[in-house]
Amino acid sequence: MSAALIEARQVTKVLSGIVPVTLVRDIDLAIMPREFIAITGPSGSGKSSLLYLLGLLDLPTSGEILIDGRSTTSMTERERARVRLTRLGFVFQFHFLLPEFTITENVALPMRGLGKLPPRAITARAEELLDSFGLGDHRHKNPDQLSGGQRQRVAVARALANDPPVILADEPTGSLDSVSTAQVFGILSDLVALHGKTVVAVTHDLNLASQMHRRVHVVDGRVVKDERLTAAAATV
Amino acid sequence: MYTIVGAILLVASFGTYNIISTITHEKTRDIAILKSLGFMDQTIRAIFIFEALLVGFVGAVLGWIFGYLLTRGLASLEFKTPFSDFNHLPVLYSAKHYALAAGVALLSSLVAGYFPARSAARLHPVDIIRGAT
Repeated sequence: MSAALIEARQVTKVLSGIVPVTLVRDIDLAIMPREFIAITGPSGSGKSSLLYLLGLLDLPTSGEILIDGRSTTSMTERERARVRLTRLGFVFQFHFLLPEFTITENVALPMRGLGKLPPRAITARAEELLDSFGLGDHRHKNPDQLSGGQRQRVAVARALANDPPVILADEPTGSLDSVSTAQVFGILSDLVALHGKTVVAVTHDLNLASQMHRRVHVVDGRVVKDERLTAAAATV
Repeated sequence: MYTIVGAILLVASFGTYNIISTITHEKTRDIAILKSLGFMDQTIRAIFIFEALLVGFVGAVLGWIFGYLLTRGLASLEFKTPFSDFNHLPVLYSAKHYALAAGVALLSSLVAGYFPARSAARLHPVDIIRGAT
């Protein structure tokens, strides 16, 4: 059994069509607990595609993805959905909050999907998460009443709703100003340092990437460099 | 008379279908978000079918109220004609008609919600997420 939380083994993704396009090719990658990983690379290099494959949002054409040492190749869509709901949290470049709901309801969504907690406990946990991100005063507001940085913090809170060990973030600061970028990055950093989460973030921002534990550089769908930037991840 | 009522219900059901299927299609991005969070296809289908039935039910109740008031209004109109002894429009109040209208509204809502929700639930969330960013 692997100790990795997520492992990619010889993963290739080809988009079929008149001219097949290879998004990701022959990638081997192991993501260990409490790592803070940056996936970097030029536009169109396959960074986001790799993240979606690691997060079971997409299926590889060949190779396999293992979550907690278990192959996902033979999983049904229902099983993959369950893994996404319980083991993985997603943050996208755009906040992707549902506009008709309050931010508390948005954060509660994954818990409602899981259906383990009673409604009152779900609301209490959602409010607790919002409080911890400094959004307690806005709990009854809808997403369009918040700033971009606040919305993205709500998106991070939603990703944490079911307390998954891994957060996958696709350009989480890509649409934010420098102040909001610092806030969101600080939150992600704290998730690793203080809460023992594993964060994998696609980013164009090399300055942010340099502050993470490990950098995986992708070019033309291949991992061309996988370097540890600090010893923190290995020693925690 | 049933031919006219049937034609009206058919036209109304097409209207209901169009509105609800448009609402469901507009929610494609929301469906992708729910799928990325880990919601299952059947849960997503259930949400949209429930919404469609709710819209159909509210529409049916409003239709009952406005239909009843309209027929009361028509029944109160007085007119004189040399060709007939009637001086009011003959209006029939039947619970069966109300039940039929509600049944058609709910059925068309169900169909309108089910098929777009089913195809939307099958969509690849990555395609929608990429398209939306």
